[in-house]
Amino acid sequence: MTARADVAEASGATAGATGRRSAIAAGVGRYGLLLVALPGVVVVVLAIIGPWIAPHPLGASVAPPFEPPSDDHLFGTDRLGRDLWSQALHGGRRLLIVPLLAAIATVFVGGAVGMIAGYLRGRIDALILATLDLLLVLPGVLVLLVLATGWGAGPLVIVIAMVLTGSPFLARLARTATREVSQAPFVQVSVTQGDGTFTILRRDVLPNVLGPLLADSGMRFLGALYLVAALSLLGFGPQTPETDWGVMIRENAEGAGLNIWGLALPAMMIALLSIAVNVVLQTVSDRFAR
Amino acid sequence: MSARPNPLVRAVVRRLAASVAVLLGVSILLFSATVVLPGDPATRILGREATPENVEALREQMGLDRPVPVQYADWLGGVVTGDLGTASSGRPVGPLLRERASNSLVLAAFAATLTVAIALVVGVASGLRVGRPEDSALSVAALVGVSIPDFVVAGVLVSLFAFTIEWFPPVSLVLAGGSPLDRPSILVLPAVALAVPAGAWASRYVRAAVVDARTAPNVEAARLAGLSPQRVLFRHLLPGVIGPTAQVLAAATGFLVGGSVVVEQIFAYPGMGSLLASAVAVEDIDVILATGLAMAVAVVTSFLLADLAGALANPRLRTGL
Amino acid sequence: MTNERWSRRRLLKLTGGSMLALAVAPVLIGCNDDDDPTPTATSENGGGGAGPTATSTAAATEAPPAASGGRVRIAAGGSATEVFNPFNNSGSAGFGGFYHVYDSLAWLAGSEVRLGVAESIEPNEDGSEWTIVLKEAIFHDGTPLTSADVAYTLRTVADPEQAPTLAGGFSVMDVANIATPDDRTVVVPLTTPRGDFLDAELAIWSIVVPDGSLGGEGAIGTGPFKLDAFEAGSSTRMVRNDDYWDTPALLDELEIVVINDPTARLNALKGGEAEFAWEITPAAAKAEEGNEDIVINRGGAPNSRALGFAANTLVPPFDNPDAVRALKLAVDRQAFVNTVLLGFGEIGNDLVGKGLPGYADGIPQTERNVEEAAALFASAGITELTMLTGEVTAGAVAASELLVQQLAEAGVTLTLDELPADQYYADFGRLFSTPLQTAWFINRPADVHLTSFTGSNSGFNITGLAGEEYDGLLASAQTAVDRDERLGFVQQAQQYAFDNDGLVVWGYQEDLNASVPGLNGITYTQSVPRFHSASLEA
Repeated sequence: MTARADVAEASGATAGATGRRSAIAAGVGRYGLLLVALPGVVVVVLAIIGPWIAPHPLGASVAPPFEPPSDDHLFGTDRLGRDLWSQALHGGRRLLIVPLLAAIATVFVGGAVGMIAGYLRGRIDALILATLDLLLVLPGVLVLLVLATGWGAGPLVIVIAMVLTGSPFLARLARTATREVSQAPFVQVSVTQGDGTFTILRRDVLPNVLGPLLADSGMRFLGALYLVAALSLLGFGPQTPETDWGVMIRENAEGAGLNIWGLALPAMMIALLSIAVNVVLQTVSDRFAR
Repeated sequence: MSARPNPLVRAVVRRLAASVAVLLGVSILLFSATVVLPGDPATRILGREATPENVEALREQMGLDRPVPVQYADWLGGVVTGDLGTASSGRPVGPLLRERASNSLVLAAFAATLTVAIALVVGVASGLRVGRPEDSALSVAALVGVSIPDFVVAGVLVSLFAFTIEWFPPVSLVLAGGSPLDRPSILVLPAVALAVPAGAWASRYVRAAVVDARTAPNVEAARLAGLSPQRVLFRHLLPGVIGPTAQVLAAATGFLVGGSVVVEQIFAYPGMGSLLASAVAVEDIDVILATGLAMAVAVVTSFLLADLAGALANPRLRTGL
Repeated sequence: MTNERWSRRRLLKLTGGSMLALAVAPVLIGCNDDDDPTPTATSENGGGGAGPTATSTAAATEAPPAASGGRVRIAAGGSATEVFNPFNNSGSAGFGGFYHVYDSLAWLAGSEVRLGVAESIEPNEDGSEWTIVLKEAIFHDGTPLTSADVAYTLRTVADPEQAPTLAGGFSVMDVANIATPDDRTVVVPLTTPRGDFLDAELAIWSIVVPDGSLGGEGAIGTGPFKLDAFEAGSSTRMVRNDDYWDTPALLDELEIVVINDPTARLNALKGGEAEFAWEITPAAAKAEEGNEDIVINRGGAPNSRALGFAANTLVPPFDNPDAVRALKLAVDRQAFVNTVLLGFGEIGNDLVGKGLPGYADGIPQTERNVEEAAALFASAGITELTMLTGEVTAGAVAASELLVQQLAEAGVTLTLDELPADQYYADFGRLFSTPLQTAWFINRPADVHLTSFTGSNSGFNITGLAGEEYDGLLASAQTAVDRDERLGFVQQAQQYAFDNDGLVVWGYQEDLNASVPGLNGITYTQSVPRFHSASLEA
């Protein structure tokens, strides 16, 4: 019917296939949930309170570089002789906060755009879809690398890159859900009552769209986490002495032969963090879906 | 009947046109992104030599003093005629990208096959056993797989399969004049590193699709008719799964393309991803633009193929494509 | 004009670029001041031991066994967009190819100047005209090497358009009047007399290409290996030149494979995908110390980079000599070597050129004195400092972080302003006006270093060291034709710099390479390994 590119149908298809629930953590089961979530929750807690309980201050050299674990240093030391456990405790917040901001911004932008497109239909819908289709084919790493070339890989740039590459997917979800909901009798009633578009979207549509959006936000968080860590790995990390687990992987990879924990500890933390976030969001979105 | 072409052909043509439109839009986005970047490419290239006169001369030489739309039209004209510009070293980008893209294609084909295999095996096995312990175990495994970044997977694979048991080389070198297929063993570790997260992710959607399809009327009917479980699975259940699954797998291509930037770098594999990473590091704009566009082409193409696969698997969709 | 002079230094910038694109490029070490090199016919095979020392089995020792053969694969950093052009290149992989496919007029074996395809290179009385006489050599296509090829090469390398990173050093040549009186003689007039033209320029770069060539995929030279295949960013394959004018190489085949990550380079070696890993990290070297399957080659001070910090003596607070003195006293140089380099390096004494000819060994080592440093900082009213830094060379940021801790002990809070490595050199004004920044230099002889990076004529003087007296010393160190006289000026210049400059050199990061056992006979020229006389035991 139009020249609208149907690339974005891909995301629509996943929405269709999964209904209102996220597929990512589905089927894990109660015990599985406990199994994966417990260590993850511990990591989240450590990431939050880490800076307060770290035995050594951020960036302090306390021993020779790349010492293996000892009584004094639980996981040994890193390339500057800093206590790895302390550095890991200091480096969690950034990986929690930046991807969280990115996920929230993506859900917000994607949800809003998708709802507007799905509700208004017509030309605006077509225009929005065309724009989304463009963004959908750009890998996040590519967009982030191009942006980082000029502006550096600061938190804002990461969030922007995530919104640009993640929100089209979400907007598709929101648009599909909105189209369904807006046919429903209670929405039609609101329309005939003469309620404003914004009111209808907020009061009638939003609660029904939020479930799938939140469910997918786990993937957005994961995507942002991956981008932050990958960027650090490619050499665009935060300013010293600030650190994060991605930076730690890059910095300490060269010393893996001397102290493997320099690599293993941050890698495990990243994996556990993303598992935990997925599980938590799954649980939350399940509530909405009911 | 004779005047109207096959609806499938018409739909395919329409999709092709749409894809070209998308790529055109992407080219504008990419080009504008490189234009609005702060800092002047000429200044950056000159580094310690950036005097105002040098910068001016280089800007002129690079054509940066012309209006942006003219620069874009010039670049796009080149792309259409196969001239992708020149790297800062003076090397033409076209042949370079062709060589790198074909290497990436080989790796991607391998990784995509693995991704599909992982997604289907894990997703179908899990979906057919909804709620049972096997489903739970597979789901946990898949969730862990999704959550571990490819570069961590790569590190684990290298230490296990290259050093502990020496099955595969730790780096994936392609020698001059050769092709990656001269020694397929170099492709195994990077392909697995790419396929594990992508396959685990896609398997979750396959599982969901299988769960949905199990209750579809035609599948129910087939089961009630007493057909053998295999027949139900392969003739009735799986065809319904292919449509949505193909789309998810196409989306997974985006994962593979993005992941290749990091994974190719780790394995020193001469593909598009490592080309992009090194071009970004030295801000080689022509290379970044060409590589970015090529990556978009890869993703668009895979979506196109997914649509075709979905349509062919489902007669109902053939006309509504 | 100044700009042209130092454009060669862009190479330094490129070497320090991003960890992704380029690993290490060759170190432009200088050379000794041997005015009258008396080469032997087989100069390339002469005396060993010029290269780095080996920690375990011998790496570069005596003449290898005659029968060797075999293939050596060298894992090296390189760029995907290289074109095999010796006039314009930045990655290791390229240089590794050039030094095998081509011959040089003169080259550096460690710190010793040797003649390559030149029979002799002699100055006239005052160093204003240099005469190069060629040996008999043939290019890989069978055509003989003539003076026209050399004249073309020199004209091209002096052209900033063709050789942007090299032309600066050669701008001293009066290019229009380069003469070729016969097929084997080239006469090069200079615009200003230079007693050090051979040592400071030709020995550092004098690759000879055939007339009209800019290298490329089908490049031919007169070197011991022929280029067989070249693919930028992936590999360079070379086969032995059996018709070499000098003793042919022992190895049948040499292949440079591009791996930009140092850890992956070592992995390639361990996984049997390469026989030589060109540049590995200190941590990796330390981790593999006990591994019998790997030989770590240490470059020592002659093959190293000088690492440190540069305080600008023209900018507050370092326009106050007490502030500079305090900074120098606050630094625990040995701690930097132990921590940042894991011991794979040597301690510095704020001068560049350690281990090379002309270095002022006699100046006593500066020791740390925190109390005095704190007192000096306090009396100068300094409690806070900011330093510009970035990973412009491996370990630069780690060193900056360590300086934060050491200055804190002297009562000064140091804040780091970290720039991305690839943008560090984008803003010149900033580098010249910032009070304190990270600094690194390829370890070259003191005279070469000081004339490049200090004095009024330098294009990249980030410490502000200059003045009439000092400039005079530098000029004399360049023009004097007599070697001893020149070294005298160099000593005086170093003492002046030690007393007045704002540069802190805490140490020298030595080149670290790794190879399989049994790969012997490698020589190094400016950190580039040469495999002409290398052999591989089965």
